Amino acid sequence: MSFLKLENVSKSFGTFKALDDVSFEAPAGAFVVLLGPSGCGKSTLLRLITGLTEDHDGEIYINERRVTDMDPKDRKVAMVFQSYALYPHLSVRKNISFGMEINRVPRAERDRRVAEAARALQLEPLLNRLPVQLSGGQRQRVAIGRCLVREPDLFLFDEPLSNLDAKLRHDTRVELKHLHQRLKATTVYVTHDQHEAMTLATQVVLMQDGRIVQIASPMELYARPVNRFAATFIGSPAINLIKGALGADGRFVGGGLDVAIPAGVLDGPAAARPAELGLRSESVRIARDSDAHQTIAVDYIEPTGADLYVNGKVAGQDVVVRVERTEKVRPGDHLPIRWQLDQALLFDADTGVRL
Amino acid sequence: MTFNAAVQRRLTIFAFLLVPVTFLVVLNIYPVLQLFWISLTDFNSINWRRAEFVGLRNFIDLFTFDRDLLVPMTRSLYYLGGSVVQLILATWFAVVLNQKLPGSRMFRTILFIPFVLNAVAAGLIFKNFLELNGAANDILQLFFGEDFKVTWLDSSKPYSNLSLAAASVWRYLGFNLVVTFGALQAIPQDQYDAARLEGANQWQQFWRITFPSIRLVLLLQFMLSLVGSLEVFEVPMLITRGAGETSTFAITMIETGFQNRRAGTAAAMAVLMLAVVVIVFIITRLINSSRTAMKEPL
Repeated sequence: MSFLKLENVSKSFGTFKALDDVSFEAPAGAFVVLLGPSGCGKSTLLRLITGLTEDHDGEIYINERRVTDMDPKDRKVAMVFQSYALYPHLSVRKNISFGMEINRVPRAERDRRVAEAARALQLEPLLNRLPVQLSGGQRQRVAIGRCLVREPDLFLFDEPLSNLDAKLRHDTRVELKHLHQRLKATTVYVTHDQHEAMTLATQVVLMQDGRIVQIASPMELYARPVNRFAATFIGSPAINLIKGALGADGRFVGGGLDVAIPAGVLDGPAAARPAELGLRSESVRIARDSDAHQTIAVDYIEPTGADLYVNGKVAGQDVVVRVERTEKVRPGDHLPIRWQLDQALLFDADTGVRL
Repeated sequence: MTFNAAVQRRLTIFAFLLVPVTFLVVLNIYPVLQLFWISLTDFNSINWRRAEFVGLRNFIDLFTFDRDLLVPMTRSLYYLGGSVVQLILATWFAVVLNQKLPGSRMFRTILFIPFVLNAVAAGLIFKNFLELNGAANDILQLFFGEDFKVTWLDSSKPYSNLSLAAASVWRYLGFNLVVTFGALQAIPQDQYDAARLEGANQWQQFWRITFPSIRLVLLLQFMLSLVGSLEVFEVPMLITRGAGETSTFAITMIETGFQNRRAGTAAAMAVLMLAVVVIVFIITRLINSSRTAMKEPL
């Protein structure tokens, strides 16, 4: 049973087509992340779900109700804005109870729900403060609290972590994950940060130019991207792409490689065509003796603590490979490497579609 | 001759300040000091040598047998009432124009034009509009018949002050509009979106989001209006020549000083007005600073 359902949703601003025939479904309790580069239409899609942006084609259902023509306030959705959109002249308590006051929820009930949300979000000592007196992370929690007390069908987040510093972003991400696991509230979350998408989502909706590229779980998106865009957008550092050609015999030739593609990598039978071989930086190991595929001429090394990312050139092409931190690598070295081809991805060189 | 950097910097500052400070002293500070001095003399506006120091007598007279001179001050109430109406209208227009409807830029310009218009031109336009055979009566005759005529500008009747206050509203509305509009634009759209999601209607959005955000700006404008209504001069001067019932405190002051040649009394009136203005500003600042410290974000 789907809890959130979008059917053929399209939206144009003048002649610009912001969303083009978008459809997806999510079950109750899902954490859906709308992911994509800026301008891909993910925020527009979120605003269409809220009803704050109107006039679109297609249908939207939330919790079995058709909300397509409904006023935002009747859709039972709550949203955390990128700017948090707290009311600057109201205390934390008043900010959280704002909607309940508007909707004439009795005072006792209001107080109960505010107290509950404050406890869940550790906002109790801050209830009488004004938003200016709060840190970014605290404001974020108030914005979430404002959503919690409304007991909505659907939680919406519009890039909620982009105004936080790196450490706080990590902590808040963890908190959001906890919160979701505890409340099991159906959530739609917009971000351009693949890391947030990977760590938070139960279902990622990857978008590009107003269209859905792929709907998948984070791990599936990583392991089996539908095309080159999906493969390069997900993963850090970006996937290595080696230009060449796939033969009907199932061999890939190009970029100094001539290798047999293991069974299971290709979705269908091999057919001769220009192709690109995608290899993630971790799909490699330093070769011993004579089993090396290629040699990497090391340019520079990025240590991350856990691993080393070795940036260099293989057959004249830029490549990044991950190696153990115990490896002794120095710029200028020539390192023999062996790709783990069973983890390879092959793309049609013209269409970008994964083969 | 050469200067080191520090001396050079001081000289530069001094050179830049020389002209404005000179103007300030000659055109502002000196006349104000002179005003205070004149208010303590019986200067007749012509012969300075025959002026004698009379102490506070001018002030005492103002509150005793020259009390008539203070009566026009009560007419400030018409203009103060007018500026309240003006502020409400301006806020309303600003809120409507802030909704990014087509043509809002044009309406903003139209409403602002009277403010940038030359004072004399603005006065003449309104004088023509309110004359016995002017457009105002023409329009009303469409509804109330041919015989309908109101002497809007009959300066022997107190109600003519309402006409003048209306002219003042028309002229200064644009200023309030632009200031309030600027304050409105500083309110992030997200706050309205959040409120809409929570079910706030337009009216609730205004009172709960817009009004608290522009309250200080409105208060400031109200205080300016309060001071302005004490100093009303050009609108009645241009339309009714400040005759009869339409004379304001500023007009009376000038008549006293230059036509009746009682510069000492006129100066005392000016000092009195200055005192009221200063008190109003002190009150504003007190309210302002306590509010800022307590509530408002930077």
